[in-house]
Order: sequence, then structure tokens, then C-alpha cells
Amino acid sequence: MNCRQAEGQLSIYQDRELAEDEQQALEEHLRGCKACRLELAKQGALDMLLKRCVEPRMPEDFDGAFWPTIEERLENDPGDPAFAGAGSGGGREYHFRSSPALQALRIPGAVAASPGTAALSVAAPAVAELEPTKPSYRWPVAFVFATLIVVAGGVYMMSAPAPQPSATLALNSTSAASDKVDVPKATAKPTVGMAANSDDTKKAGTGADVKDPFAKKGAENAKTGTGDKPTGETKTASPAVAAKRERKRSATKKASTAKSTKAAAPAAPAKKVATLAAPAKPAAKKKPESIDSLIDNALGGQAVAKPKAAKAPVASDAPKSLTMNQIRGGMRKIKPSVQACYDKYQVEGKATVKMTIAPNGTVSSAKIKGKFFGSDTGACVVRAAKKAKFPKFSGPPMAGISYPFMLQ
Amino acid sequence: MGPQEIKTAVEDARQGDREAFGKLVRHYQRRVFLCAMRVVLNEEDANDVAQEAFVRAYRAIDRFDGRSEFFTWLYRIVVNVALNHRRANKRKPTVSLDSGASGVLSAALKQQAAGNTQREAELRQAVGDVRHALGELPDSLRATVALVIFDGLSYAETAKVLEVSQGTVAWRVHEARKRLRQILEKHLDGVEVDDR
Repeated sequence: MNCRQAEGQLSIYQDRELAEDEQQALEEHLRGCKACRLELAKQGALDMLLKRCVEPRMPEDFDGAFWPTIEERLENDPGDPAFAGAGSGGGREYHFRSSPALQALRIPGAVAASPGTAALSVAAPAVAELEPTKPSYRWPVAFVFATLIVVAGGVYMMSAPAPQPSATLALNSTSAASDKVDVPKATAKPTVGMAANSDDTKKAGTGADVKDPFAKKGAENAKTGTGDKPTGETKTASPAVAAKRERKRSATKKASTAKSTKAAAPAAPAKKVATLAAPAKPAAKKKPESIDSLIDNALGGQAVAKPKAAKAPVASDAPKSLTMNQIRGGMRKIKPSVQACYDKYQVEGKATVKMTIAPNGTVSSAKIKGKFFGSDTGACVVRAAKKAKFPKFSGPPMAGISYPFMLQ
Repeated sequence: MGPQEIKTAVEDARQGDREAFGKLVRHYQRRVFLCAMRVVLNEEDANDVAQEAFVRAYRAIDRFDGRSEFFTWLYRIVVNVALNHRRANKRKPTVSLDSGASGVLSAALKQQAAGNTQREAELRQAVGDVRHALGELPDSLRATVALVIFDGLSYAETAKVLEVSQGTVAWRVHEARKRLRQILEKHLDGVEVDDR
């Protein structure tokens, strides 16, 4: 073995992963080669340096506070397997960032009710309309949608007289007042690992004399990397874009009164549309509400002022969301119907239903996942799930709630 | 908790028993925190990442089929969350060792230096350099280093957690050491070996 070959194996040797015969050959070489021994010693010293310098200190009261914090999060955001939740983690937002569309649209340091906020809201429905379990499509679709909106907004701005104050008002009219929302995000699903656990800490000495690198004098004065500061770039949404959003939403509404009013006053529209649209808050309203709220969260919870009228028509003292027990309770009641599906089709297995619960306590959408997808049994289970009833709540619709039934 | 207790707790947690999941959290929380810390290199962020990882694990536990060790499965979630966090915060300024967020570390350095200000400065310098060097590593290398060098997982275990081959793990560790050496060489100058 020559030095070059030895060098290629030192790292593996250091980790004690070398095959026995290779190890013997390497050790043979090391006995006669001081340079390689030094190389190995430096490698060992490097590992020691790394471990000593990245020796984490547990936060104070870590053991006592850790689980209660998690439990609180679980309590507040039940049922969403793709949950990224607005937690109690000191206002951090990384859980939202893995939603690619939101990541793309996030504005560092944006102030609530700023024009930037409106821009986010405009593009947000693209996120809501995407299938949450197919993250690979979200980027391109959201990007195309956002581009279209921006272009359309630009065209509108060029063609229409400036509707000055509408941006904030338009946003307000559709924002949810909740501080939390359960919208699934495109997250890399954790897959099941296969390895055996290993608590043993292998790797001891390296066979060479290693001096503690800390005994050495520190060299010149390098500083810890400071990274780049967020540039705080802000996408400004013109009022025209906000007005455009209102126009789009209004177009989807069934209420002909809102439509006609809007058609009658297209240029000063946002405030009026908002006012008129608010009472007739129907199903079409659901997604934008939930997304607005999500964006508020993504912006650090600095929600714009939200009129009560924009909220779903539920009791004001209702909880903001359902607890896991409430969801379980509702689902338990439909178990006989689900069992009937098995009795009818005689197919065993786990049928997981993914659904959205509306604030009025009904299931607004349900899909079957897994092996029953597209089957008669699956369709039957979905029908049963759609009949589930839950207590009313005041927050946005709870999307992406998965509930498994064992059919047997 | 012994292996059987863990297995029972996992099974109960899969049935929605939150208290059982709580037992798992309490059992693994330190190890998960340490793993997160070695990827994000910031105690405060590591705490958030660890919490997020457990929340995700709870949400996804019905997909854990029990054929593998729970901890390996959990570890994969931790690494994924930590790397996502790192990517999402790439533009965020690195927390200075002098800042309040790293006050715990600063206190530890002071304690280690035992009143010797020069020694404390050296330690601070070394810690800063090491964190900077680790921060320069690409995500894949950093995650591998976290598992192999810091956590002592075997190449086989690391390969399963990261879903790569053992050969890839070996190459990544070798490459990571090489890159780290380039930045940290000055701290290794005093290393000597005997003539024999």
C-alpha cells in the first residue's frame, strides 16, 4: 500500500468501518509511514475539535418545558398530519417556509396591511387550490399563477384609473380573524427508516498521539460568520392588484347582488365589494379566508385588521378550532356507516380519509387515501365521512385532517 | 425506557394515545435536540427544530409501520426538518457567540476558561471557526457529519437514515473532513506523532 491509497482509507479507518484485511494492510503501512500517521492524528484531532466546539448546552429547564410545549402545539392544531403549525416556538416561521409557494411569496419584514400583504393574498389561492399531497407540482403551478396575477395586475393598472385606497380594504374583507390555520403544506413526508438503533458511541482513539487542539494558541482573529442579512426586499402590490383579486373572487360568488354592484362600480370597487360581499359569505369564501390567515401567520402573526363581518357565521364564543377529541368524537359517530362499507364490499385494510371541516361543523370535502383510492369501498367511506358532524368553531376551515378507519 | 416499553409506547401513540407519545418525547428529547443542534448549529433553533420534528412525528406516526426502529425513523424526520430549517434560514445572520441567543455557550466558554481571558478568547475563536467551517459545508455533508462524527452512527445506519448507500456515506465523511481541515488547519498545527 502506498501513501495515496492509505490516504483514501484514513477517514474510513478513523470511523472503524474498514474491512479487516484492509485495516491490517493500512496499519502495516502506518507503522512505516510517519506522514500518514500524522495525517491520521490530525484527523483524530479534527474530530475532537469539532466535538468540543459544537458541544451543545441544553437550554435551561429543557427537560421540564420541552414536552409541555409540544403538547400545547398538538392541542392547538389537532389532526393535520402535514401540520406545520403556528407553534409557540418564539414566533419562528420555518414551518411555513417549506410550503414552496409561500416561501416564494414571503416578504421578510413586511408590515401588516402593507401593499406587500395584499400581493401575498392575491397569489395565495393558488396555494389553496393545489393538491397538498403532491408537492412537486406546487412550485411550477404557484409560480405560473403568481406570474399571471402580476401580469394581469399590471395590465389592469395600465388600463384602469387608480383605485387608490382599495388594497387594504380588499384584503380586510376576506381575511380570517383566526391566528392559526390548518392548511397542509408541501412537506417532505418523513419516510420510515429501517436501521437499527445504535446508542453506542464508537470511535475512540486513533492509535496515534493526539494533542488537544485547545492547548494550541488560537491564531488570527477570525470572526464567526455573520451571514447575509435579510435584504427586506418588498414586493409591492399595487391597489390595482388587490382590486383584481376582488374581481376574481366576486366572479366566483353566486350572489348576483354582489356581482351587479361590482359591475356598476368597477373603478372604486374594493371597499364596496368588500362591504357587500361580507354578509353572503358562502363556500366560495372558504379558501381565500384560510389562505389569508395562513399568510398572516407567515408574516409573523401581524394580522391586518379583520372585520367581524368577514368571518364565518358561527357563534362568537365558539372555539377557534376543534380539539383532537372533538374530531375523534365526530368520527366515532360515523363508524357504523364505515363498518357498513366493509360489510358490503368485504375488503379489509386501513382506509384513511383526508378531509376539511368547515367552521359550521360539517365536512366540506373528503378524500380517501391509500389502497382504497378509486375503489367502491373508498367511495363508500368518503360518503360516510361527509356525513360526520362536529361542533362549530370560529376559526378558518380545518384542512388536511386525516382519520384512519380499520376495515375488518 | 427499554426496547419493549418503547415498542408499547409507539403502538399506543399510533392509536392516538398522547401520553404514550409524551413518554417517547421525554425519552428521546435530548438526543433529538443534540442531533438538531449539530445541523443547525444554534441552540435556540435546535430547540425549535426538535419540537417541530416531534410534532411531525406525532402527525405521521400512523405511517410508522414498526418494521424499523422508532428512533431511526424519528432521526430521519429530525434531519429533514433541520435541513429544511437550514435552507429556509440561509440568509438569516448567524447568531454571534456574543449575542444573547448564545448566552448559554458563552457562559460555558467562560467556565471552561476558568477566568483566563486569553484562553477564553482562544476557545471563542476556535468555536467560531469550527461553526463557520461546518456552516460552509453543503447540507448533505453536514448531515452526514452530524450523524457519523457527532452521533457515532455507523455508516450502515447513517445510510439508512439519509437514504443513500454506505459508499456515499464514506465519501461524504471523507470529503467533509477534507474541507473542514482546509479551514481549521491552523487549530491542528500542534498535532505531532512519535518517530518509530
